[in-house]
Amino acid sequence: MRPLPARPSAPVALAVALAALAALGGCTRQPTAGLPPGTTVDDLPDSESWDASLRTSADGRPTLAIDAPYLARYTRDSAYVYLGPAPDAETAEPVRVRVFDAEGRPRATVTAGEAWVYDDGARLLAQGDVRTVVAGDDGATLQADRMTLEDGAVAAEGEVRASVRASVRAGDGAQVEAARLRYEPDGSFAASGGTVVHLTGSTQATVLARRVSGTAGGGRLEATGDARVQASGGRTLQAGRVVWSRAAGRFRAPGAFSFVGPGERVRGRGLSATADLSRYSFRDITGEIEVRE
Amino acid sequence: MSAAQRLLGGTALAAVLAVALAAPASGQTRRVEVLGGDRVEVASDSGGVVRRLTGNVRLRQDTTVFFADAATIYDGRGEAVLRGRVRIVSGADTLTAREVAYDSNTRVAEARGDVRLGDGESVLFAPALSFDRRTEVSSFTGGGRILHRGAVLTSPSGTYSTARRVARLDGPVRLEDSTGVLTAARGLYDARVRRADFAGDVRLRRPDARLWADSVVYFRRTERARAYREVVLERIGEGESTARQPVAPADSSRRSFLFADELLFDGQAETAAARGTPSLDPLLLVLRADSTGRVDSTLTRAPRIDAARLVAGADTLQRVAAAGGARIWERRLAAVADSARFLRQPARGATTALDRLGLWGSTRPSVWADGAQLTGDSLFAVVRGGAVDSLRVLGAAFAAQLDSTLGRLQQIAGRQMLARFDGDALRRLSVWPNAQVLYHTANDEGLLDGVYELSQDSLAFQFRDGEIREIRGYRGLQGRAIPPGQAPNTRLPGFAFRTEGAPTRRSLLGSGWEAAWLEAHGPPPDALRPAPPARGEPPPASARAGER
Repeated sequence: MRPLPARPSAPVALAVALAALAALGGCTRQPTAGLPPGTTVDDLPDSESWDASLRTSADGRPTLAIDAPYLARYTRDSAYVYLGPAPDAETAEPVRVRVFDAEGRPRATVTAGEAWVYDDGARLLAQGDVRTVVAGDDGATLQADRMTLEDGAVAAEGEVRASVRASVRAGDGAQVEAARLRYEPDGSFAASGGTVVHLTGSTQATVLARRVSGTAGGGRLEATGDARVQASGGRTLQAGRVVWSRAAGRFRAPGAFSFVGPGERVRGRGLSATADLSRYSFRDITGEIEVRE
Repeated sequence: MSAAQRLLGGTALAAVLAVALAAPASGQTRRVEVLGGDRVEVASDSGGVVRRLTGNVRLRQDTTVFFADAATIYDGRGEAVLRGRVRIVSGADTLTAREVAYDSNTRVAEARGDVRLGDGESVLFAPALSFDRRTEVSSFTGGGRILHRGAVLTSPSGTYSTARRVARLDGPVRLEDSTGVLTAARGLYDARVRRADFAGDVRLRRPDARLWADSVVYFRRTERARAYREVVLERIGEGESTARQPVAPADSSRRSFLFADELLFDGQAETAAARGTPSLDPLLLVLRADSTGRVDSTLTRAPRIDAARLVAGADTLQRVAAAGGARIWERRLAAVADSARFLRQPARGATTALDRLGLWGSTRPSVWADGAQLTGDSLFAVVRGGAVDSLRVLGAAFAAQLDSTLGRLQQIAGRQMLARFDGDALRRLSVWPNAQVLYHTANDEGLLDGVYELSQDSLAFQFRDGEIREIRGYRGLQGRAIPPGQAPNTRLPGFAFRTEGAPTRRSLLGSGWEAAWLEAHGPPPDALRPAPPARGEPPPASARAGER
């Protein structure tokens, strides 16, 4: 069993009446004598299950459906459930968690090497090659070393890779790479730490910044901190802040920026450009352009 | 200014557009530095990139800087348009306009709206200007004005070659500087040498002169003009004033007209050299009004006529030299000579004007004055205050006067002669040495009464009312009276008598283009007629000598 992560700070609103860890599949065993060195009885779970399935619900609507090769339940200072490979297991199936929305509809599926369920299912911490797939047309796929699901939001850390889509039919979306990413229930997200966003579909561009926040499906992105936009044709926009609006189909750099394109290297303020940066307008221009004879 | 870049005697300003918006060879690109612009819009489509810059646009290419309210660069089409307070600066060269458009396909730049093209030394103003890079020629329309080194050239349209630095101006063209105004139907202006080649109804107006011609080559630096075809140079005034005025005083009492087929006028040296055609010699007409308003005219025609103004101390002299066969006519005398020189010293204070006329030549010159013809190796006449003062004949002096009653020539000969006049009337004639006289007398019936031959070392004749009143001699008197029946047809030494008579006003003026010009441009016709003799004055020499 892995070390426990820090105790979560806030109780969960879901108020899951974990009246029961309703259906516990598999068998349980009591702690046995012969503990590993350095381990006390207090370190042992209150109960364990192998090939466990855990279902949580609130007001009669499902909230979580967990399948794990091993489940350990602790009820000490704070009650939580550990999900992951069984002790001493060399290989194990990943933990699989299905998350339901407030209406009880499937919202996301999380697979990970390990997971911890706190507050009766209000908070889920997943770790180890975590993959979360958020359902819906404006859903997302997130991959990271570590993720936290709470209140419908997903916070990912470490080698985060996310893919959000605005429309399945149009194929528009965005792929996000960042050190950290938080995915909100409404589909919006905020990534930070060497963030790279690849706009996909009808828009082909890459946004790089220290921080990028976006709405569901990446319909609107705001990149701050050494933000750069790379479009086709070698066009590159660099600014302190860049905003992308899929509805307008334009990038905006409200403040100062620099732009490098075929035969031009300009600077200015207040840029508004098309997705491929081939058409744009701004003010206070300086720079160099090449004119054809 | 660098010689390779000057436009109008200065930088090749028109090349600004070429340097700035185009590369030397087709298909190449040039880098333009954007120094500023309030607003930019860039569009890219199948037609290429279109950049629209607005508000305080500043661009720089190499050493050329562009300013404009707006600039649109059609990269795909190879066009660029600058609008609103356009200013292009390259070194000392500056082009300003409301709009400048350049098409790299045709390599033509069009500037419109209050175009100003300057290089620090010269400036071209025009409503519109077109610059062709291939030919390096700028064209302007709608009325252009070029300021170049103190001169203003204006014309409705024209071109300027950057390479040759020559402006071709379509008329009417006007060149004005501190020395005068030159106008013509069309013209060329070479900025390097400040040379104007104007043609078609050419007129040059200076403070002291006016010139008409069919064509002229005028050098501003030296103020020299070489004029061709039906050239007229009018000088007004005595030349005593050196003050520069835009227009000559119209009330001057003296005007001269020099007609020629080719004329070289030097405005600084104040000289003029006139040449004619094989069939028509140059003509000098001098009009002079006295205090009563009477206008006397003097005509001189010769193959070569050179006029000059000479500064001698406080006086300004006018000198006219006629060569190659001069014919002169004025109210009191007429003359022919191989060469003639006229020198006039204008009136100054209490001193009256003094005119000196000298005649020379292998063909012995002759003067007709007061009814007589005087011939010699050389003759000199002096006129004071408009009246003949003296006439000196040097070398084989000979005087003849036809007695129309007898049909005989009264003859006087000697080495020299000196005639003194009083109020244009002959008062005394001195002959020396070897003075000889052949005098025919008539009886009451008007028939030949006899011939007197008289010789003496010197003789002096006193005249009154045109008649000899007294003859005085000195040393070696010899004489004889010959009866009528034995009167010989003797010719004294140095005999010369031109049967064709004296030149007349009409014969000199002729009826060619000069007379027509005078009718159109010259003084009133009355000024060309011989002034009537004042009371007590003898009739003009030409009248007695047989005016034609």
